Amino acid sequence: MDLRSVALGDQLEERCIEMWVYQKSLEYPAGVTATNPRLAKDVITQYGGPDGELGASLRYLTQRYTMPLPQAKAALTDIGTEELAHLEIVATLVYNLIRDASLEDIKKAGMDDYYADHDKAVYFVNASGMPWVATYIQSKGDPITDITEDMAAEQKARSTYEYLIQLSDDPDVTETLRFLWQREIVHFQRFGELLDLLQEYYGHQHYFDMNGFDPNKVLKQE
Amino acid sequence: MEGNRPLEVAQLDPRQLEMLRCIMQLEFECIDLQLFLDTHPAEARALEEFRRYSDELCNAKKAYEDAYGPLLNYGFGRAPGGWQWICDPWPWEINWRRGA
Repeated sequence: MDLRSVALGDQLEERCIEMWVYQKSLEYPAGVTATNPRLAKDVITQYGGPDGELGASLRYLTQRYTMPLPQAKAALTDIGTEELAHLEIVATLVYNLIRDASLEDIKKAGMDDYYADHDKAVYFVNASGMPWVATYIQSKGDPITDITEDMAAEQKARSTYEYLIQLSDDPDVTETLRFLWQREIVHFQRFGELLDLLQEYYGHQHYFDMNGFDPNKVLKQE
Repeated sequence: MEGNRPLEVAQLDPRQLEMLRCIMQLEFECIDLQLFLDTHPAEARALEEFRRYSDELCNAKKAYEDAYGPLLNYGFGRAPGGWQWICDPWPWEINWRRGA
């Protein structure tokens, strides 16, 4: 553990600079009422689907390197880390929904194609079995572009959780999905605040601008 | 859901579950306040609340770790007994059923 002084506004604080650590508990007490491979096949999309938690965590954690503001570096680190905790919650749901399923249950649920490749292991696929790909996410180097993508990502994840809640016939799974759904709304709010801070940082004239393009110069030439 | 068998609830020490639930609640307060403080670093009331929950969380974790072993790896948690890190249950092995 390395102690360094971190300047934040006019405050100067001694803080621990830490690596990642694992904590042996979930962020939310996830529960499953009954074995249900049919539901597992849907919920798994938030593990390895286009708007799932793997993409979310990797997107935010890789975008933070090129952020110019301390608030943005901190929020992307913390939200990216929270998404990893959500990834573990989704995995817990999927694992518990299929762990006691018989082969007959799995066939009836249409999960036999998944079983052929993964048995009952938890793998990164969407609801129709497509594996996770890095093209689900972007890291563009333009902070306004990246935070705008993050806001859209939170909305897409919120919609997905709403569809999963509609599909869920397991009361305990529904409760857990509702928690994850709420977190998407909080993250969207935080990203919106970052967008405001970034627009202020760039002086309000660059929001829809390309790098290096100065609308004032163009106007003067006319 | 018809035909689906109810899942077995892991037989765990109720005191351990209760302590863990309390830690999870305090931690959620800290997570949510942390994100808020990231974009509002000058909000004194939120910072004060964060410190209060964070102190409570520290104490709750210390009490848990003294009884059931480390919650955190790499020396960030306490390991007072034997090497309890490898002990079950892992987070995905606890089924937090409502009313269970």
